[in-house]
Amino acid sequence: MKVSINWLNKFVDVSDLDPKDIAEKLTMCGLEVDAIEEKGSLNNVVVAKVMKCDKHPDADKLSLTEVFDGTETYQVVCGAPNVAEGQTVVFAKVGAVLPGDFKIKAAKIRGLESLGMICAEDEIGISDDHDGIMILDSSLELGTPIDEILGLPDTVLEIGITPNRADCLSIIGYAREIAALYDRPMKTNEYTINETDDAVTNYGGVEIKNKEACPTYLGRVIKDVTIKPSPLWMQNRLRAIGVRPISNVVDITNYVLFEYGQPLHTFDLKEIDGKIIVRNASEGEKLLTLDEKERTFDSSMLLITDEKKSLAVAGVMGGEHSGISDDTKDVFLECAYFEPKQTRMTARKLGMQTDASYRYERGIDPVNTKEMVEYASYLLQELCGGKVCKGVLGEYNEPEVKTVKVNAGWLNGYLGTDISIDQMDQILSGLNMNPIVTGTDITITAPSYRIDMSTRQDVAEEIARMYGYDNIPTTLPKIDADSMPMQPILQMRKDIAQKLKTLGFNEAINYSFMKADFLKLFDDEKKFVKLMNPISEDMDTMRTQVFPGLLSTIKYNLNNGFKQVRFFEFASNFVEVGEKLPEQRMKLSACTAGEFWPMSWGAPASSEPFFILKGVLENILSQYKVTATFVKSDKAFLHPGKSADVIINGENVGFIGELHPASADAAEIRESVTMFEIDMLTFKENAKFTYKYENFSKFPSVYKDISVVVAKTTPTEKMEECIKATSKLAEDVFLFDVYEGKGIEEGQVSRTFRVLFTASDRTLTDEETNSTLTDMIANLEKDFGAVLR
Amino acid sequence: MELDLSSIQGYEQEIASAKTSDELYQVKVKYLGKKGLISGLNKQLKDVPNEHKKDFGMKMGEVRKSFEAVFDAKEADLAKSEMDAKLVSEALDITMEGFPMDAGSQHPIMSVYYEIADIFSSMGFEVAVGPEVELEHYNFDMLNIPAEHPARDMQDTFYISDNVLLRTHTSPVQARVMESTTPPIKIIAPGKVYRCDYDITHTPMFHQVEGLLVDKNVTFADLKGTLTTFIQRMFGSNVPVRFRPSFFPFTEPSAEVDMGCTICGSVGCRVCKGTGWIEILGSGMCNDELYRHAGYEAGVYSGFAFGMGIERIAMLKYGIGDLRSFFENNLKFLRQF
Repeated sequence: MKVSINWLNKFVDVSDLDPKDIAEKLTMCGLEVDAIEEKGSLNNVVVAKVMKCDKHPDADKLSLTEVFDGTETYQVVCGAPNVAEGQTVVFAKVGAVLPGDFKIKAAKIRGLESLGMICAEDEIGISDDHDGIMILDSSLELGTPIDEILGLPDTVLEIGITPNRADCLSIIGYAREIAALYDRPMKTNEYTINETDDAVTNYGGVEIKNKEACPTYLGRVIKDVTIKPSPLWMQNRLRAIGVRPISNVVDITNYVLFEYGQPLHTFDLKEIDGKIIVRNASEGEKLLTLDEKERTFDSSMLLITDEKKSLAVAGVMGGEHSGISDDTKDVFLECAYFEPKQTRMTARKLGMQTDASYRYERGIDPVNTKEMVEYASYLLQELCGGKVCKGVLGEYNEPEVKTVKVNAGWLNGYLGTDISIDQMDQILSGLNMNPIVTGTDITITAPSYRIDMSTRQDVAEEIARMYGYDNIPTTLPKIDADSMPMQPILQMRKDIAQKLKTLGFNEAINYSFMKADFLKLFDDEKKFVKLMNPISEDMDTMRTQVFPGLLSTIKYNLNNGFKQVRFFEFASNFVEVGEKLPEQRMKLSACTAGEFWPMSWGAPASSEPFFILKGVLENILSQYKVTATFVKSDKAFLHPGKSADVIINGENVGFIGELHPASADAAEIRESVTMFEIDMLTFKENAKFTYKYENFSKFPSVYKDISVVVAKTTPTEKMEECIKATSKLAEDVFLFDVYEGKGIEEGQVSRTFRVLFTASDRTLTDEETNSTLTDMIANLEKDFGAVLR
Repeated sequence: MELDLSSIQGYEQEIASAKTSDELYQVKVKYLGKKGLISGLNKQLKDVPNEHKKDFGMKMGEVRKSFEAVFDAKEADLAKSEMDAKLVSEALDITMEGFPMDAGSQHPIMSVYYEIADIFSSMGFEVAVGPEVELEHYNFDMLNIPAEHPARDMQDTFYISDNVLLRTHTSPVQARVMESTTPPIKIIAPGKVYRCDYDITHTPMFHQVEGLLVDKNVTFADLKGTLTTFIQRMFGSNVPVRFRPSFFPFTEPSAEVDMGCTICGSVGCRVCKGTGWIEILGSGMCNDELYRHAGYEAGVYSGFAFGMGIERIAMLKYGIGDLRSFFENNLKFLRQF
């Protein structure tokens, strides 16, 4: 909300204070000042009169005028279409500096001297209006400095308000806060209503049918108002806080709204049939509201109606037909208290938010209605020439008075402070909390506008913010200061991320939601967790697996010209399983597209990406002493010959494989993509974080090679198991060469295994290893029909 | 009778003029080979009287030794110059690129995530995690944000169904921990959160770290101390920190925590909007309602909670201007980290 310092001055004298200091103090007591706007003096700008106005002899669109400021007459060339003889205008003399550092100088315009400028509203910084020059009330004295008319200089603070401080949605709210901060007295509005003898009951009545939603509804009738612009002082105040003046009656309701935070509504009395009835809407009831939209209501919403029709949405917006118009003569003034929950619900369902509903939703001062119906009537009497009928219609219900008891010892213990009871008493008195001290207890009775005060913590907050957070000591909690190790799964995540980084993978973070149509390529729609209110169709479904996000990352980067991309991502998946919440499990996915090795003179010959990624996965698993087995996968989105399910301890934890070319096509990825995705939770359950050292043989090991030809379909893993099973001396076996082609029959392949022989108690002899090798070859022949090469 | 050495007069000269190991070897063969000139001196022995043979033999040995000394020196000489020549010929163009062992990268959000987690771990906080698709109950109700509370206006929520949503903060993790354990509680909850907002300064998914400390006799001063320590470990021990009253439905009193602008050194710039301060954390003493919802005995415990956006910290730390770049996953962006 915007707050004008000049307006504040009406309630608390701040004329000697630096607005920056006020802003700092407000910010540090919980009312954050977002911006300070200085509205400077407009020196040499005065009220003047257009004495003569002729066409400029050499320019169609310009006028040549003579302007009189009460002392002197100036020749001025004016470009405004609406300038005319006899107007009272805003005149900037030579030497004036207008907002935007616009200096007024003597000038020659199309050959004629011009000594000053007749100003439009935007030129003096009161609005954006540049349609024509601003025309003032002819009763203003010529030569009056425009500062006096516009209430300049002024400073406007823009303040952000937290939802608990509904009492600060008004000028007076800030005045109270500043009075407390600076320990200054408050001033009040002085006014008197001259009621006529005409009783208000002659013009209707008020019936509240839902007193829970509307405990207080007061109405007055003001007759014979004249609709015209409101006086400049009121316009200036409204303009200063960013509200456009409209006409006196409307401006008065806005003025009271911003000055006191009390929303008001004015009806044209002639549009009301019989009495006012505050009731819930009937199902499907309709009303054209002031914003010219037809609204349809349900029975949970509260309306202001008369005996025949609806008139307004209670606390939100008035109806178009019952509102004030230029020919309004008699006004029915509504000043009510609507319950926050009720207003919030109605406004929310209708998708409306107005200055009124904003305040009712947060809670206005329920006691203030009594005074506001009087103050607004006074303004209608004074500024619109209205005659206030005798008496007030409606019903007022005194709200419950809440008291809170708080112990000073508890309070200091809670804040970690050593504030004296006297000082607490003083702070609470300054905030009008009416503290009563008994021993170390303080009992407060909060003023009616502080609807947020109901617990001892509320009191602690008031003391803390007025005492100053800066003055509260800085200590560390006196509980065990031991450091906590990170959770195993997070530690694993961190370590694996480092490893993958070292191996050349880039960590990506994708949105958890994607397009359902895309996810359908990889999973059954029955598993989908869908958003009711997605940002767009492209983000309407939670990922059932993590890799589809990485595929879009790959696509994006390939399209951006990268040839070789490797990514990984840790993220939760989301799978509908028919329970309250979907299944959500941490996954690790990694992928590589294009050539694994970058284009370089030194890169190795291209290798099958499946095996590179398999190596990466085995590397990760081995750090936690986990061994996986790989079995042929039947996932439809994977290449049937280049894919495997990953099994750890009998449990399927994920997959590794090349994206099926058809899926790649559908995903519009032009390169082949190889990827894996594993479940981190199962991985963690099988991970070993502590292990024992194993003794190793001190005797030298010997390498021997076996080269055999077998059918291509023979699993290498099985052959290695066979070799190892032949002798205890075989410590390790691995495939070190594969050859097919010339010299090898079609469908056959030559595989060379290297066997590492070690004995724990002796150095092995050639005879021993050679004879074991012969046994191994025999076993390979027997089991796989292998032929020694 | 003297040993006739005239046949081997030239060896020093010949050794000296050998240019390669091969040439040198030829000299060795010429003199020391079976039919070599030094070996040939043996022929003179047959004419030597027996009593002089020993003496003669010794002299021949000396001749052989002298030859070998000259030869060895030359051989070492040649070996060195040949190795030098070989090394010169093996010289690489050291400006060629190294083997393409591309380093990958860690996402900056995760780097900051771990940095924050490490600081709090060292202060005794345990890291807790919870579901991202969450029940409304944990996300709002348990945290003193009832359905009609205006505070729900502060957050635009993605819904899955009427009471299931994408968590709007990581506070539901704290609610779950409070529900299942009794104090002392000292946790942080980092993770993804979601709000229905997408423009230049909002992404529908982002990351938060929230923390909770509950025990007996925890004070607002402890909150100030803990968060000041965190900020100064994260951004430097000289960074000024200030606490400012604010409002959150689940804490009271609440505080926004500002730190001196690291971009301009607190003198005022665009990033801190000229104030010299940057808002970095929200915090406050836990509202008693939280203990009531968790089923704790009234009036026994006190504690504080805090929360911060990881993206915001990463943006400050690395000078990243556009929030959205965190989720584009452009390699040109990622490879810088």
